[in-house]
Amino acid sequence: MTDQTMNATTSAASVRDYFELMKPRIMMLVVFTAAAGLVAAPSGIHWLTGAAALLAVALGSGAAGAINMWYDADIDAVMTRTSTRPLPAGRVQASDALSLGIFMSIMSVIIMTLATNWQAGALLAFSIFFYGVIYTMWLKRSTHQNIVIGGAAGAFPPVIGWAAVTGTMPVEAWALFLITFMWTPPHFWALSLVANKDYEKAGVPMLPVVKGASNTRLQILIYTILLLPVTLLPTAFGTGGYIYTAIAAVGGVVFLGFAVKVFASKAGDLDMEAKDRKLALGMFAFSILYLALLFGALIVEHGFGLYFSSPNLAIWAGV
Amino acid sequence: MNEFNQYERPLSAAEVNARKKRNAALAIILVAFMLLIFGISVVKLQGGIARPQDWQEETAGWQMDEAPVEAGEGPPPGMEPAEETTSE
Repeated sequence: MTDQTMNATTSAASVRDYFELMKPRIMMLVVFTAAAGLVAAPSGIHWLTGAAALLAVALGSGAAGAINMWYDADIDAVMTRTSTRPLPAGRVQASDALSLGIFMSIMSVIIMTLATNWQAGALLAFSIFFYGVIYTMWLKRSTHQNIVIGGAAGAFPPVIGWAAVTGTMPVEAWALFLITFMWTPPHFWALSLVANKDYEKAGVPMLPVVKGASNTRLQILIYTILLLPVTLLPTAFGTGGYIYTAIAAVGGVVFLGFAVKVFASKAGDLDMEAKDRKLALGMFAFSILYLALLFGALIVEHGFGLYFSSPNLAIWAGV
Repeated sequence: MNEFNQYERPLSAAEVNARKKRNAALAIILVAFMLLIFGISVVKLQGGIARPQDWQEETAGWQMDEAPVEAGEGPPPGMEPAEETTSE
């Protein structure tokens, strides 16, 4: 290839297109939850090491996103919501997206292991594999429970953050995992209620497509009810203080309110009205704020010295 | 042009500009990566210097060649002067 000639598709790609491949909004939430695990862990970490760990998590998340976009380019092109992504829009070549994903996966694990410890590096590698291979290549197109099991991939970051500091993964860290794990189904199904036609067109077996909107609304309510006690686990273990507990309680009640309203609505039905659609999208938007507030509370409490222990498990048990 | 690059064409000014921006971004990322690895190395080294008790505890059970010397009873192990050898 000469100096001034190049493949037409690649030459049009901007830095922003490559950045878009990394799903930056998901990346932000992933880094945020990892930061919560990092600061909530019981021992300290040098700020540069902590920053390197968060960078590694961001790179890992971006890598998984790029691999996901590479594999899903065919269905992204069919769905209205995703048709303008860099690959279906023809701004980036598929091989470039895959190369970027693999390269960033390797770099993220190397940085994490060098900066912190092999436990955090190994868990980061597993979470990239879980999202890029188990969820994207297998679960997403084969079962309507795709998002339930696949949600684990997005739930690992707080445990990775915790492991980066301590080199261990105690039950307190897995309580943070469980929050995101139980939060993902109602969060994603609220969106899929209004986008089920897109998923049907692409042949993706999302719950509303396979089991119907009514069943999806019931599942949203069940998972939301189960989520409420799970969000109080950090309080029980002493990880969450008064600020966290207050946000978990108030936010949980509001989220449950959304779930009850969506359950009683016609969201996802053929005769869905504009207010039903608005309600489902409102629940989707609030779910993001809810998760950010939960993990933000942990960051504020542990990162800014505002932690005041709330009645935890030891007190409840009379120890 | 040969059979392998028959689809190649001259780049437009906008495409050359886009490539320059990609290359600049790569350069910035490489420099940042280099600084990050340097910084991590410094932090790790400082940790070793600032916390010598870590490796002291780690090596506490190691077998010594000679019996420990009481404080003030001569040089510490490993610091003894070499034995004089006599040539016959």
